[in-house]
Amino acid sequence: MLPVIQVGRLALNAPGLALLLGLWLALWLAEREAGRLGLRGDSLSAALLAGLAAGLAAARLAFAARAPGAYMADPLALLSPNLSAFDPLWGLLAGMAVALLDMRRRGLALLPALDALAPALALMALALALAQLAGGDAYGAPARLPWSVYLWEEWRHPTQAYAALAALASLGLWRVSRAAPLGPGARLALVAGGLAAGQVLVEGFRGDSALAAGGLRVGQVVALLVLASALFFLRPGVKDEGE
Amino acid sequence: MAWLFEDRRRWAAFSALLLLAGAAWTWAARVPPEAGALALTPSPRAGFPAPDFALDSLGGGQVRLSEQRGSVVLVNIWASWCGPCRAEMPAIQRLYAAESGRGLQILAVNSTVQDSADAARAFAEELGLSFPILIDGDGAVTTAYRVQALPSTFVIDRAGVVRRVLYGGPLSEATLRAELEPLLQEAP
Repeated sequence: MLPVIQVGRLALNAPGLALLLGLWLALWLAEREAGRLGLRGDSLSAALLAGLAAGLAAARLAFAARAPGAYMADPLALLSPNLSAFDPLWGLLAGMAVALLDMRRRGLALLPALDALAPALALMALALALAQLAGGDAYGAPARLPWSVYLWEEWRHPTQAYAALAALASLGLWRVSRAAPLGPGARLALVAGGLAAGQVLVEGFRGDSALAAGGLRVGQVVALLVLASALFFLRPGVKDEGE
Repeated sequence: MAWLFEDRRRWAAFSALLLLAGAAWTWAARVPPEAGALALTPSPRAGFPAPDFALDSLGGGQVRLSEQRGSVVLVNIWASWCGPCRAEMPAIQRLYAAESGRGLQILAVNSTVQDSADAARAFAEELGLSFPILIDGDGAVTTAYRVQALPSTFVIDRAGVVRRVLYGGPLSEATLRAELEPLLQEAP
């Protein structure tokens, strides 16, 4: 675990750095893949950047909405570089909505554009797992195994490392299916299905899962639903039906 | 892998097998009701009970974290030589003055192991700080809270659970208010 990298008097937030690096690589990969799929890579990049900007703004505004009076009194605090002052859920929703709308405005076909994002999704999942490893989040249940890590006063499953391996496997799945004649949207479904299968497996080793009725882990139930949807979308014949 | 996509029945069998295995693992990995929430050892991270400590205060006497139960506690770990600590302290003082009546407690832990009590006292007097300034002479709290950067701020709810960890600074009053307001609104 390494939440902060101290460079002289500068304290760098290691999880944030991992996410930023992952995002940069993901954007680069998406643009490259878009070109390969016959889309305008620069248009896709621009739409993603618009989504990113909107997501950051929405995440900061949603955070500020918790204490609107304080931010009205000090509006410059909205521009604070503090990475803690964000509301990720609102940021994600707004960012996705704006990116999709901008793709449409730029005349990008939705399903091929989503296919171009498939490797970026796996790469971001990898960056997220590494960020969680640096920050000690998404930690595992206590376990005494040769590969256990000592974290939060216990020996635990290194679930962040398991998640990173699952993301790498999904990236590998995308790589081997790259030349396959799949229908529009199938590449994203393949990667999403791979990541969901990994999540079903890894979540079962987590020590901090949110629980639903009967002690079921919410992350596993949601991932199972995503996996089922991906398998349904990928079923043979969909490409022919679409054509 | 292509052979899977060639036949609908083969694909259906594969999908059913994968989903069944996933469902079985999901069932096997559920947390038994008698275990309640997943085991939580005191630890300086969000969602965990805050590690308890008792430290001498510059104003005299000893302050114990667990005795603040019922209040929203902001534990700020700082040093007098740290620029961001100095920059954010006036905002913390303003918050304390405005919100202590609603149950906000500030525990400013001077990481004395890398500072000095005299410097901490001069710092507190210069900035007119009225909340408890605690002296971590042997660095026990700095170590227990795994402080890797100064300042480090831990937001603890009325039940003694860490709700947010904010590494680095300076934190603005607006950011701190946005973190604290929902907790202050929770019933004691």
